[in-house]
Amino acid sequence: MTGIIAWPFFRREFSALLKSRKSQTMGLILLYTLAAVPFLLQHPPPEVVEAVESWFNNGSTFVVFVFVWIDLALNKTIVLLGALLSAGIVVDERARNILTLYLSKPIRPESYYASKTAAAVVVFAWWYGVTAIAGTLTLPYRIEGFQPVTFLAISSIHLFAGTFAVCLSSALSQSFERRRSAFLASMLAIMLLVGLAFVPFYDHDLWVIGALNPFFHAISIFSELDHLTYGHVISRILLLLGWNVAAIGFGIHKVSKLEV
Amino acid sequence: MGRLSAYRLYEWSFAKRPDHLYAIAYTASLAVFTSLALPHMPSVIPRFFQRALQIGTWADIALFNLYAATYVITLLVGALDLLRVWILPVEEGYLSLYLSKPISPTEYLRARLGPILANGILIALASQAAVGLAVWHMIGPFDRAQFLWSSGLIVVLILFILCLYNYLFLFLRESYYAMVISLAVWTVTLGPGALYVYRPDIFSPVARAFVFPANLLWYQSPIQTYGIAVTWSLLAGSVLLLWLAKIKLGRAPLG
Repeated sequence: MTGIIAWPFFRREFSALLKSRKSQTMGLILLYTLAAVPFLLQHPPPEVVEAVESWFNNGSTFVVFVFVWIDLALNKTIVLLGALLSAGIVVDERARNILTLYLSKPIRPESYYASKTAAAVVVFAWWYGVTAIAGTLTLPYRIEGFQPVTFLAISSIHLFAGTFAVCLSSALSQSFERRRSAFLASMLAIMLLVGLAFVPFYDHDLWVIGALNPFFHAISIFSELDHLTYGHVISRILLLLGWNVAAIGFGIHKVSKLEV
Repeated sequence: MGRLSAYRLYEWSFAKRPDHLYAIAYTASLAVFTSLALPHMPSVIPRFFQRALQIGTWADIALFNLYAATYVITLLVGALDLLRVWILPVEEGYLSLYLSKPISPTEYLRARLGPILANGILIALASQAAVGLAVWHMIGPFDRAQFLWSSGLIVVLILFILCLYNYLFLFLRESYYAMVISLAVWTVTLGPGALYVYRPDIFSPVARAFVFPANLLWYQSPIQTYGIAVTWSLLAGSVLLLWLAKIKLGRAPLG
């Protein structure tokens, strides 16, 4: 996997993407959400608390916060950020008719694709990390009963759901020739998966939908928040890493069949 | 046959894309899936909707979610299509090619924008038809007059927002900012709904009227009284925005 990434190109791509407007908007959206969410939770209506309690067996302010933070804030932003960051990879160059120019340089199409996707993943992880650390430092003063360690554990799992969205949209885009179709398809696909993520909590009989959905594995830990172990966290991270690698692998496979 | 009828036909066929069919199929499958799965949800779900959003029956809960789906998906497809009016031609440098032919900016706008708006309306109507059929047959009856009013208002609102996007996009030169604007409009129109669930205390009775799409289910009789006025104002707003777009495009520097 690492052999396919052209590291000097990756480094340049990463620093260019990190300084881009896309990435700055992304950081702003994430930090703004972090600032705004406690406002939503000042007086949670009893029915919200009751619903959260029935899903996760725990209705404390912290668990309500985690639900709102992951479901309302991060999952919704991931849909957009994934597509924004990576739905243009290769498709963009092809639309501008400059793909041949890139590929005439000593870089294989697979490396080009994998390096750009990896850069997008790392930029996403960068802003997600900044947000998680800012949350860990500020939220104890803003949310009653805030548990920094649990928050970091949840964030470290959910981070890989976010990077999966980035990988998935870059991989799906390879099936499209137009930028707009690629962006649309990525958004719709991630929207569907994210929308179904909580379904197994609402009805346990629908667990199959969850088992097949990476975004469910990113939040399945919600029912175990009271007795977290390293095993709970690490197993989910590994599972999500597998999904990430599978998505990139699919993209690489598509790119290798590209006709220029 | 007018002078430009061949060109207009070309624009119509050029505007047709499989994406539109995929979008309709996507909303239709969402409607079917929601109608299938929703009644199997535990009782905490209807209780939640009843208390948090004052929406009681399964049919209304399904309609609430699917109205939002039609709205979001149609606007997403429409916004991406609208890039073809100005931003993409500028980015990819072929706008002057069009306008150097004997096609005036107004004729170009009419020929290119018309099919895009028509496709948007078609997607919204087809999605709403799928929503109505799925919910009616798989969950149960709802107020039919109310559903027709709501669908009409959603379609007109979508038309208005597409005209707004189109006008705003004429000020931009990059598709990136267009996406930011689309995102902002989504947040502004759907934000009150999300906020209302968690902070109903900050909503005055007037502000409550803007909690879209729950307001379509709440105000059954007011909608039948004011629906026509709302429809006409949105249509008038759309016409105004189209006229502004025409002026703006007429003055735009080419190149």
